[in-house]
Amino acid sequence: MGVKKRRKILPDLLTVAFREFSDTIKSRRFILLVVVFGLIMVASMAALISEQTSYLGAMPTGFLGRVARGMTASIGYLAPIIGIALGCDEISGERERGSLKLLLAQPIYRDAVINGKFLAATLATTLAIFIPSLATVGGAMLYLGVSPTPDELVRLAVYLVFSVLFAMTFYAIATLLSTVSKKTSQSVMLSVGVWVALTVIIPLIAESVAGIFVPRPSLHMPQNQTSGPETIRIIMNPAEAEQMTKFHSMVESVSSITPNYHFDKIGLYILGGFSGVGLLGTLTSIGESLPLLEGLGQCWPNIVVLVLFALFAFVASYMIFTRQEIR
Amino acid sequence: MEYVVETAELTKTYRSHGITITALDHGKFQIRKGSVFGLLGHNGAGKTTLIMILMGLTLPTSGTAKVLGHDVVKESLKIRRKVGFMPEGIGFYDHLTAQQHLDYVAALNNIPQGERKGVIDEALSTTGLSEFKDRKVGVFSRGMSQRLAIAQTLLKDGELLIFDEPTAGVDPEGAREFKNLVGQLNKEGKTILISTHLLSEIGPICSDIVIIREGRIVVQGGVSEIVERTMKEEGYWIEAKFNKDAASLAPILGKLEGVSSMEVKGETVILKADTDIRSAITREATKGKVDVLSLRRLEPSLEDLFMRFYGREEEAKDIA
Repeated sequence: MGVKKRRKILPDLLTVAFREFSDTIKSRRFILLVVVFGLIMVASMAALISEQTSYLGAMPTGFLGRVARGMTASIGYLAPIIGIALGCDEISGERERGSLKLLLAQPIYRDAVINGKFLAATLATTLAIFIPSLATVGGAMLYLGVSPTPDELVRLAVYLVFSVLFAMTFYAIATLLSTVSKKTSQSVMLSVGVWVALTVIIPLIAESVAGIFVPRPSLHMPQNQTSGPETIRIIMNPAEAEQMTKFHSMVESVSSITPNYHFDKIGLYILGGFSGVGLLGTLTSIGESLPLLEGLGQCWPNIVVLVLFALFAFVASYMIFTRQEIR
Repeated sequence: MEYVVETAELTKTYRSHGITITALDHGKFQIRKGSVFGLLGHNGAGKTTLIMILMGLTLPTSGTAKVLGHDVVKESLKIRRKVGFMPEGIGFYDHLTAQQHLDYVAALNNIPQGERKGVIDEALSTTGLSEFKDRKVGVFSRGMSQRLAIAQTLLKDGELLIFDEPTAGVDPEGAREFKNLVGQLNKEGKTILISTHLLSEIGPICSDIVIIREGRIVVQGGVSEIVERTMKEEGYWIEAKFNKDAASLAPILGKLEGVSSMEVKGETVILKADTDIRSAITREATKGKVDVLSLRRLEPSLEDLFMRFYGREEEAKDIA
């Protein structure tokens, strides 16, 4: 008796991806992530809209002008968490459960396992980012009574696509750590450590390092300052302005080792002045938006670097996983 | 003779904490087609490493191995397509049911959708899991998980089935059922490789064995051949029961050629001799007009052999 030779029905990669995707989106963890992400996004946007109307006294114009800042603030922090939550037990979890042995005992190549997981995670991340974002945008449309223009919609969609890429960068880092860690607890701790380092510590170090070489000039507010955006002015002489430019240039140079920096830059170029994103403390004047294609043309180096971050982490986990001894 | 597994000088070394560990040391053995092959050894002896190499999941450091004619390094996928494998410490996804697990495994083995239900139902029925097929594996007992592990092995109808520590942690009833299943599968023509350190449970069903210790194969062959060889080397123990007190016959039996010791207990005599002297005992009993009620060799059990070969290795090591 032998095993019948069968025609390949579905590539193994898709079989693994389908199972992984189905398991992920039905898991409590994923549902919780989407709900929490949505709530934080709504809260963040509501707070910013309220701040814009009460503190600044006037709201920026256009749909994106009102919602983009809340969106970028939430996604900048939450996209990495989505990536880490999906990637931190990808391999170590399978190893701990013993299900890795179940998979590898079957006639499939190891790369089908890791590629299938990556494909499933990409789809799940897309859902985790698009569902709360679109729900929030819809809610904001109803609340503000303003509809986005086609250009704004395209900008939002493109920004969300890069948000998925940003989340997948952290997924790839978490998967790499999960591949080399013996236990999931170890992988989770390492992943969170990396996130804190890239999101908080390195930007702080960047400012400190820049401060050593180029002292940050002090800002002077005019004595007759009143509330309202039109009256916010900072007194700075040309020498101080140059010093400030040098300071921020140095901060950016140090921060550019993080994927967060590049994602912030991409966000700024896609959503433009709408986002109100102050790149690492720099002030972005509202209304400076470039046309989308021109913005993408300006930030392509950041896109390439972000892709390289994700690719490097994924290729490293791929190579380690496919060569790991199974004992 | 046709072999399903052949290895030559198979060696595997690991680096661990700066030390080189030899998990397998120039292993050479064959597995006959149609046999129930026991891979015996203590925990850490190198059994799992050997199996992982045979399944193409670990690369050998040197040497060669072929499974069903396929090279373990170059054709591991073909091997896993034809060999049902239950790894030690296999685990499942808690949120999936037994049926869903088997469906996933069937899909990975490229079993067409139309055939899956029949194949899965048969595997569930064979392992006694039919009534639990819709239950999530998270609530399964260890024994039930072990049955599911066996069920996934049966899905692909492989020519060779490999079970690594199949009865570890299983209750005696489960172990008995496993033995029966192995017997049934073997009758269907399948070759079965069982790795275990629990000799009393699995040993009796093995036709051939390899005893492995610290990565080295210390003995291999058919169980009956090894028993015969051991008795030839260490002497035959023969128990004879007569219809009356054996005291009158004892002096004659004690003088038979090759007898080195004898113990008499009423109608029973136990002798140790260099050769199998059962026919001589019958002859002397007939001469002495004593009926022989039973006459049997006291063969060493697998546990005896195991301990004997392990002991020998220890002695050899001490001498070296």
